This record gives sequence, structure tokens and C-alpha cells, in this order.
Amino acid sequence: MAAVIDDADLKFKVDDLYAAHALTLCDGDLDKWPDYFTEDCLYKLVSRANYERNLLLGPIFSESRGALIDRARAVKTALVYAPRAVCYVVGSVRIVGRADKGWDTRSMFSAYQTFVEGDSKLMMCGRTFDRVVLDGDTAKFSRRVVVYDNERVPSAVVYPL
Amino acid sequence: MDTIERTGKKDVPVGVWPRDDASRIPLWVYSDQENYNRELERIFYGPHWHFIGVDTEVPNGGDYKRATVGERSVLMVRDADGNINVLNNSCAHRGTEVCQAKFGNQNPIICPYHQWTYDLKGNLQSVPFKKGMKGQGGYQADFTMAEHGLKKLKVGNVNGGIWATFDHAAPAFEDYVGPMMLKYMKRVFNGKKLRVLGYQRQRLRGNWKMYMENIKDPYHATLLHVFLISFGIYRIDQKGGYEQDERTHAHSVFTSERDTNVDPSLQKEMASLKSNYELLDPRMVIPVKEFPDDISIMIQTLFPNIVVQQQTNSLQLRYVTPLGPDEFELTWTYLGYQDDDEEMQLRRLRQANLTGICGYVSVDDSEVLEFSGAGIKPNPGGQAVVEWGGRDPNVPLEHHQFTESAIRGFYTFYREIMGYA
Repeated sequence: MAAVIDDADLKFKVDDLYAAHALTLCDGDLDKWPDYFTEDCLYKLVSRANYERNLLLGPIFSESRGALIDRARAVKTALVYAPRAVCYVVGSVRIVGRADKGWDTRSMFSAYQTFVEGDSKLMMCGRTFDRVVLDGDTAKFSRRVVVYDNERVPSAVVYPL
Repeated sequence: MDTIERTGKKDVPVGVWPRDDASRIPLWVYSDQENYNRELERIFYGPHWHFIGVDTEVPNGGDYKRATVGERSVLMVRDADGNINVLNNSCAHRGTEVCQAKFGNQNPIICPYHQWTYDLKGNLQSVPFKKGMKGQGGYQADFTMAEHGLKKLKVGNVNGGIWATFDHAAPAFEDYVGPMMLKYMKRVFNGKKLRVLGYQRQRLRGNWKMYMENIKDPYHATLLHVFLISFGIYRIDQKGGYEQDERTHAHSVFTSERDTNVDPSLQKEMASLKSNYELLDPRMVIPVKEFPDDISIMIQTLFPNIVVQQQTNSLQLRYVTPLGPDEFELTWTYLGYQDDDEEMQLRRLRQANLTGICGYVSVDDSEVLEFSGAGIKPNPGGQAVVEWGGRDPNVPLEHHQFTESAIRGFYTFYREIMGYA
């Protein structure tokens, strides 16, 4: 097990990044979502089955903050989909190691979605393998790899996690 | 009477086809349980071929991968001779699934329940306590090992693409799809060693046939998909082609060549076209020429449930498995070649953003198919009108795409094999 980074201020900043990011997802605030990432960030959504076989391809592969803004804009203006609410629950946030210019971090999540019929159902659950850097006083993701367990996903995944 | 006058159409009873052609599709084909059972028997376990995987997924003797045919789990197994066998994943003893992992290596194959043991070709090798113990119990003298193997499927292999059918009376795979379809399929399955880049799976609330219709439908493609048409990846007015397997009308292929210039007379018909749509990071819509021809999209449907697609440099197999009449699974297998350089591999990953469960194009399809599922399920007496471009199932003489004839082709064949003709 990696040593816990004993820095209360850093731990607070990382926890707060994850919490703020999760609330933004729950709010469906697509304009704000890219603000949690650095300009040259890497963002990947990939199933656990692919991840464990070292298969690189996943549903989302973005290599810049610009690509995240593109995705947010497409969800708002281009895609056709049924309205839904997403509830993103994050937990077990840990700083697991020192990395170049920042820290490697991990978390667990579950995400539920609610359609117009009213039932809230599990959309995805899994883990994230991330890298956090400090931009001035603010923690941001320079890498976020979302690995979801349920490789058969209900419907389409419209909102990013 | 009033109802008929108001709607123009009267309800169609289950089992009745509304017209003597495929320009109408009764909506009960999407929801009726008895019809679904008949599909499993005649289509999924009948003389039709299914996609299993690619040979490089099981490189070594004893490697296996689970796949699905209809509702049945099957195993793609590489044997000691290097051949690939496809075996029903159900023990000949009591029906138990013999392999549970998605991928694995076993030699021999041993059922976990009572350890019936099979070789990699599915032949029963041994059973514990065959003669009982101390002369007590065991199997009868007439128990014949050769009669208790795993059920074997008939296998086809086109340049590493593995196909199978439960029906050994089915024609060979190459004959089943025919030379025209084989020619297009071999653009992707071209003899170079394939590499699987990843899988995506999703569950959609609709009938499995709707997905095949969606892929056979150029009408929606040019109207629904902002990304396809705005970046010139596919538009119905582009130079392209449309071919069918003429014997059955059931397999078809559409092709299109990239062109960002829009015919102004068509622009007003395509409300979703955003000619000024710009991306901050456009790398996912930048193609490179990879194939000898100039086709930017090839989308091929093979009856019953397979889509072979090249979308610029993104190569995919889409495979539809039914989960009852009202739901299906869509499995995406993304392919590249073992000799791809790093740049090409990266390009394929980027372009994959357009398709799959989060795809800029495919989300539209998944969602609209669920809208279709929701609208169709409670209305089994309704009928779909499929007469854009005529009522026959043929490819137009000019090979243009302003037609729903590929859908009519699917249902011309479907009616025949399902006994509704």
C-alpha cells in the first residue's frame, strides 16, 4: 500500500476538488465541468474489462481541456437524447503517491440516472485513477481515468463523469 | 370506422403481415413473445451466421473467449493444432456453463460442477467415477463418451474474423454472405493481422431488429446526426455507393466519400446541419487516407445481426444480441492492425469518440432507438411505413441512397424465413 501523504492542506484541497467536481456533475453544469481540468489534461472513460487487459480504447478519449469543452458543448447543442438527471457519488478519495508536478490520486464512485419515468437506476460504478496538480492555490485534474465495472451500460452515456 | 378514418390505418392482428410486400412492417414483430421465440429458433439457432471474435484474441492453444449467439453463451477456443473451435458453453452432463471468465486458458476444459473433462475440440475425454467404486455405481456399460461432447458450432474464418452457426446444414460463411459482401468486408478483414483495441457494451430498451434497420437507413443518417453531416463524414448527397446481396436482399452495404461542400439545394432539408460547427480539439475528425479507394464511410450489415464499419480510420464490428423481445445488447469491437504505428493507433482511439456508448454520432442512435422501443411496445397493432424510395427491396439502378429499400430487403428475407410471406 502506498504511503499516505501527510499533508493536511493538500489532502483538503484534493478532497475539495473531488467534492466540487461531483457536485458539478450532479448539477448538470456542463459549462463549469472543464474548469476542474488543466489545459493539457488527459481524460479517459474505459471499462474495467478493457483496462485489465491493457486495451487502450474506451468510450471517451480526450487529450486536452479543449476536447472536454467540445464534449460539453456537443451535449448541450448537438446530441439527441432523453432528458435525465445524474447523481454522481464519490468516495474513498486518497492521495496514493507523488508524481511529476503533482500527485497520483484515486477514488471510488457510483453514478445513478433518472429518466422521465421516474425510477433512479445505477448507470455506472467503478474507480478513478487520477493525477492532481496545484494551479496556484487550486487543485486540478491533469489526468482522469474513469474505470467502470459494469461493462454493459444501460442506454447511452450522455453526461461525462 | 371513425378510428380508421382518423388514422388512415387499422390495427394489424399478431401474425398477419399488413401488405404483400415489405413496405409495411407490423409493429408486433418488435414485441410479440411467440414471434421472438420463433426468431431464436429460425434465425439465431438456424442456418445463419454470427460474429464470434477475431483470431488474435485467442493466440495460444487452450485460450478461450466467451461470445454469444442468440441467448446462448459460446466459447471460441484455440486448440493444440492451432485451429479455432466454437463450442456451446453448456456441459453435456447437466447443462452447466463450463467457463465463466470472459477470457481464459484451459487445457483440457473441465466443468466445475462434476469435472466432466473435454478436449479443446469439445470431445468428452473423461468423467470422474466412470465405473463407480469397488464395483458399485458408475455409468452403464453402454455409456458412450463420443455421444457426450460439447455441442460444436460450424465455424467460418475470413482473414482472422471468426464466425459461427449452430446449424451445420448452413452454407459455408463465404457462400452465405456472397461475393459482393465479401469484397467489402475484406476492406477491413484484409489479411493483415488484426488487433482488438477495445470493447464497448450497452443494453438498449428496444427490439434487436431496430438496430439493424437503423444501420440500413440512410434517411435518418443525414437528418439526425449533427456530427456526421457537419464534418462531411457522411451526407446523403455525397458521392457514394449502395449494394446488396442480390440473392436474399438481406445483406447490404452503403459507402460514402468525404466531402465538406454541401449542395445548397439540400441544405434546407437538413435542419441539423451546422456548417460552421467548430471544435477546439478537432483531432478526432481528422482522417488520413488508409485504404486504396476514397471511401470515408463503409457501413455493412450482414443478416441477421452484424455491422462491419469503417468510419474514416475507425474500424468496428457491431454485434446485436437479443435479450428478449424488448431489449438487446449492442457490443462494439474496435479493431486495428498489429502493424499500426503509434500515430495510427492514437488516431483510431481519437476517432472512436464518434461511436460507441458515448459517441458523438452513436448517442443519437441509441437514444432514438429507445424512443422507438418506448413508442412501439404498447402499440403492437400499429405498422411502420417504409416506402421512401419505392416499395420494392431492390437497389436503385443509380445506386443512390434516397431510399429505404435496404430495410425492405431485410424484411423481404425475414418474412420468407419466418413464414409470414
